[in-house]
Amino acid sequence: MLGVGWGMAALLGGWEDPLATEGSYEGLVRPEVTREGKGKVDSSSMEISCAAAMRVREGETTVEARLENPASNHVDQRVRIYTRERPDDILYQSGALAPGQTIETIELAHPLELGRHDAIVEFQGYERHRSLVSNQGELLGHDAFGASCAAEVPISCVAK
Amino acid sequence: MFVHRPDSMAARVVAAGLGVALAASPVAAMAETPHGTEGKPGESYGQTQLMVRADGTDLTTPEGENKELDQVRVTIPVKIDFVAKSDGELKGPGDGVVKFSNNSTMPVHVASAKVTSSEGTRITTAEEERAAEAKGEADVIHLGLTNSRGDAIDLGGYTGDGGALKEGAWDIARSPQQDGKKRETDSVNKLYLNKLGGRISGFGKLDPARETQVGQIHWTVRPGLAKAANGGGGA
Repeated sequence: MLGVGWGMAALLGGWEDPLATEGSYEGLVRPEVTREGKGKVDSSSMEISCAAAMRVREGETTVEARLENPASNHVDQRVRIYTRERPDDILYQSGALAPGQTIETIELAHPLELGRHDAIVEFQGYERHRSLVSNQGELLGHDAFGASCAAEVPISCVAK
Repeated sequence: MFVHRPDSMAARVVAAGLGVALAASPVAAMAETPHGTEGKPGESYGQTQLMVRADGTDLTTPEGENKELDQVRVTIPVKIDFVAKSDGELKGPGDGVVKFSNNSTMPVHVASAKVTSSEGTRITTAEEERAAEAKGEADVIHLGLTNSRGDAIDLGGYTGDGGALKEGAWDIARSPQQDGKKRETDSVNKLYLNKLGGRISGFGKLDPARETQVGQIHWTVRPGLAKAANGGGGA
């Protein structure tokens, strides 16, 4: 079950993504759009945000994904990417993004074959500040918020 | 016939989520209300997994801007609380509460849905649930909804590989509002899930005193408006 996979990753690895930076893509196409306030998404929902189309060069792994945990969310998010045709082949998995953080460029686990693929960009929310800590203060895990959501976007592998 | 458990004779309680969590007796010990859930203290919650699908080749922002700069941004309900009555009726939030909100740079539409049941439960059609109830089978669940465009679906019909949703009935426009706060209250970029409800044939292995996820629903949303069955464009 996907939820189990997310949980184990949280236990085994670090939490915050070291490449996450403060930012927003809300104004990417429409600079005049103002930034939404924090905490605007209702308590039973989560907003997901990523590039609507991605591209990678043949033999390379760098992709502009524009992953975003909008500031309007009240949860941390982790993201992973795989293709529809190979759901068990995780191409990318992030650490946690706090609300208001973005990751613009990612590295895929391996190059893709030439052509167009359907990429599943899956987001899992986590309750903020609700960590499971051992008596020794060791971080054991985080509380998932609801089920994961995903955006399916085309990712094109183009020739150099 | 609704299958009662000896300890579930109390009236309505608790939440079963899409993903469903279950009713509990008001005199039984309640789990702490999870953060961010709707409903009364002691109600538990379920989960729903939703998938948004974007097809870059179909991107047509009104301004005709560079497709590669388009951003998918959708608010998706990930927790839906249901209350299970002692007679087996499941009731979700009221109309106008649960919704998709399209904050993308393009219109989107919900193209398909896929429902999976968790271990120990079975999400079925209304007809199948009635048959199970008549036989005295427990833990069989029917859930349904009607979106704000009037399209009613039986989630039991979207198990297995799922299925396509009615074209033109699941479109979500892009909000023309420039201001984020105004876009938040805009109605054109919203699609509500109303008349959320269903039935559970009875509590067998499922413990009504504990929140339990009984399934997930996966939505697939594509950018752009769906073409209506007659070939016309969606609203």
